[in-house]
Amino acid sequence: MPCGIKLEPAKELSLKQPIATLPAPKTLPVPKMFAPLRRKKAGTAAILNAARTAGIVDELDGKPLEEKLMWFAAAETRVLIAVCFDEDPMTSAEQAVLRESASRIAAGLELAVRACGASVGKIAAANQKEVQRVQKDCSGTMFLTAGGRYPALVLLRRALSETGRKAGFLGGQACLALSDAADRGLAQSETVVTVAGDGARRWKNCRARLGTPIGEVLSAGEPLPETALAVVGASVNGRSVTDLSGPVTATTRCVLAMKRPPRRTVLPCIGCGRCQRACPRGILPWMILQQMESGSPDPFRLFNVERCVRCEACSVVCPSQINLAAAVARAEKFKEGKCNP
Amino acid sequence: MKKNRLLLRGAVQIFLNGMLFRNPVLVGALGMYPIAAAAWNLKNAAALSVLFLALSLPSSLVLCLLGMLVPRWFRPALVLLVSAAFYVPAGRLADLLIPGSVSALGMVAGLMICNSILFSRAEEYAPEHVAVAVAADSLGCSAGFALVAFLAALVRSVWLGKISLPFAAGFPAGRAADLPFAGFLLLGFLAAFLQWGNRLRARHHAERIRRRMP
Amino acid sequence: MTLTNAAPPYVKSEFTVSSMMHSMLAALLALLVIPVAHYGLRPLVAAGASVLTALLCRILFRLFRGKGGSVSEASVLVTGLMVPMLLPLNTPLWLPCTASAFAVLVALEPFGGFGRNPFNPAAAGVAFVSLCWPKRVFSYFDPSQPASFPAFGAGVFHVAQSPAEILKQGFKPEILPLDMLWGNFPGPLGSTLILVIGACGLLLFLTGAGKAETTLCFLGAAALIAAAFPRILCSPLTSVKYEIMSGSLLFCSVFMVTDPVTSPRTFPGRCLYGAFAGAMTMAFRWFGAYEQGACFALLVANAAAPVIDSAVFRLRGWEGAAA
Repeated sequence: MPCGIKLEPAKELSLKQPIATLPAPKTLPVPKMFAPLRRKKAGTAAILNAARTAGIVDELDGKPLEEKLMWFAAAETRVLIAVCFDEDPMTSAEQAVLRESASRIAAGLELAVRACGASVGKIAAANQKEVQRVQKDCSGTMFLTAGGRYPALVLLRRALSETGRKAGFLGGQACLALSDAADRGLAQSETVVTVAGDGARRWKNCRARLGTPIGEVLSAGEPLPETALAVVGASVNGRSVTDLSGPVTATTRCVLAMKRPPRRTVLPCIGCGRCQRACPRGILPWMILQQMESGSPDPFRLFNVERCVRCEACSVVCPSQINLAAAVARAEKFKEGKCNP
Repeated sequence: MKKNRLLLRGAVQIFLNGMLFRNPVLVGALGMYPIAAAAWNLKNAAALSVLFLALSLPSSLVLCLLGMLVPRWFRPALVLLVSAAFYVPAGRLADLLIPGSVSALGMVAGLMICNSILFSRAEEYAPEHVAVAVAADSLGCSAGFALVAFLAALVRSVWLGKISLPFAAGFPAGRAADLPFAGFLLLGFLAAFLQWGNRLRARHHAERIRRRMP
Repeated sequence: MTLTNAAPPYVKSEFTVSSMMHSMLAALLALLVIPVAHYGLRPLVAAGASVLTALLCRILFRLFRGKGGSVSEASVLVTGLMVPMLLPLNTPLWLPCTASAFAVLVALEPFGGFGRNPFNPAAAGVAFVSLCWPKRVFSYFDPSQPASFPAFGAGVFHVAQSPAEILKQGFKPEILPLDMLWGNFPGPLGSTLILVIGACGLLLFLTGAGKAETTLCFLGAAALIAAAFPRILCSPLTSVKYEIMSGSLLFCSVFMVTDPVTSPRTFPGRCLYGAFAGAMTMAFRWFGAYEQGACFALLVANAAAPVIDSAVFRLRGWEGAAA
């Protein structure tokens, strides 16, 4: 029964102000420019060429956009969906980008559809209110809403694959970059990052140059001096960093400052079954935990562990606060034969 | 001479294993029913032990002699036949030593014929080992069975009314200590205790070996 | 700004074991309100003594095992509070204390503490005490006659037969089923207040501390058997009403059968388990030696829970409900 979990969204604060542009650090090179495309006559090859020259990287999975479009073309994908929502409760970068430049995203999506031979492109927004907000800017595009449960993207993928329509997913910012590359000849040089967390005085979305040190993005949110944890990626399943000089990449969506690292008293599993309902991929984390704790796990009983997407929904929902995602990761390694239990 | 001494040391080890370290009741979880159901006073425990010894030793020795001569599928039946044949002398012996005990035991005395310790030892162990080892094993299992029976009977008969709580009107647990559930609970705790002892012993052994290595 | 490393997730849900235990504690304390109003401090003292014993036993066991005496879970408090609800109010104080001590020292801690116990500790404690002192556990006072219970020490009361005992003897209880709703009949301390138990049940289901399907299948199976095989000469509906409202059946079905640690992990498994426990309770009532069999039946069902889970998995093909 994969239905995900309900998490309280905390996006209003960061969406209140428009996206702030951070000054580019002096050490980074100037982004290059090249000749724009002529829209009407641009064929598949020309669009792919533009994507490659602009060096566009899709923020959903870090793969180059050109590669993804070619893959979609080869797999005969019918529907292309531009993901303009964030499944993480504290991140709001994609949503802010949609609010700011919906028409350009629609244009980029249309180019992508042409490039990979799909029949239709849709924009996936967070909820019906967002759709109503931006509908007037892009009247020709169809919209989808993501569900209200975390992890929304995984559940959306699952819902679409169950209806049998082959859908390909692209990041909203990648579509925006594609449209900029085609119309104005700009290379992808910026990404939007949310700065939030209870250790940050101001929560905002910042447009930062790729390669900016994370520390500079974090200081845009005015972190309090008692911050003890800096998390990059997402508030649920990001990773903590101690070295703030690492660069921002296209896949960095969120930088959080937290006052206290999470403290957990771990209790034994009580068998409530919440993790099974939370997992969007159909894994039974309680059974995986039982098998791994027994010391001699039976690989046959570790179902679906290779399908785990590390969304950490199971660890969040567990009443005993067991790190189930880590147990599933260990089980995956064990099942592949890489290590002993 | 040397072979005899080795044989003797081996036999002593087998005996000790049967009695304590691999006690069939507490570690093997065999033969729990007679103890849980009947060993609630010392007379019963003594009768059970005598019966067990008088049944198990001859049966094991006979099986040691004849076991390999019969086909595999017949062995369980042979064990039961031999055991039943020795039941009458065993019962007479128990009655002689402790008058009135066999009838006090009732059904449990007859069930000792197919006691699972006796059965498994006579069927699997006896036919394939030398007589000295079989005798040592049988004596060891009898000693182990007797040990657990007496211990259980002691605890249950002492519990039965000798202890009184300070602010209550006596503590007559009454028939409760005689019931099988109390026997099983007690066996569980004794088993846990013995296995803890075994673990300590194994750890000492490992320490000793590690200290001897360079 | 000194940074440390920590593992994900960095978000916590509000539903934890402590919140579950707090709802259960609240529900159990709600059951004590009416007895305290009627009979003074004695119910509180009995409950308090039982809880204290459970706590002490746990701390002692932990120290004995060398694990430190920290009390981080309220589950022991819940066990300690459930035990006096199943015993009469007129028992001497050492009876619920002995039951709690047994529950913690034999049924809870030796298996590894909370979360690893295969048997419901409160049910085990009450079952032990019922086997050792059946006369004390099943003699109830008559609430319609004047009775007084000092906080410590023996009370002054008249003994009466509970409806469960009358049913066991084959007679129809004098009290009407509708009057049983108000809880004014002889019975265990927490099991007579039918309406309050129902309200607590709703509270537990809504806060997620217990799953409703187990309770409903338990009551359904018990009702079916009561209707099909009534113990007394009356209509099936009356039989159902009497059976459900007498003894500790309703209390067990709401508080003890829903314990997530001892029940199966799958939905059809839980339904089967609830039905099995309900059927066993009625079987114990028909053929058992004592007038109430809910605790014994629950222990039998706890033993069957892992088997039920394996059976469900075998039937479903080991892949879970909707993989």
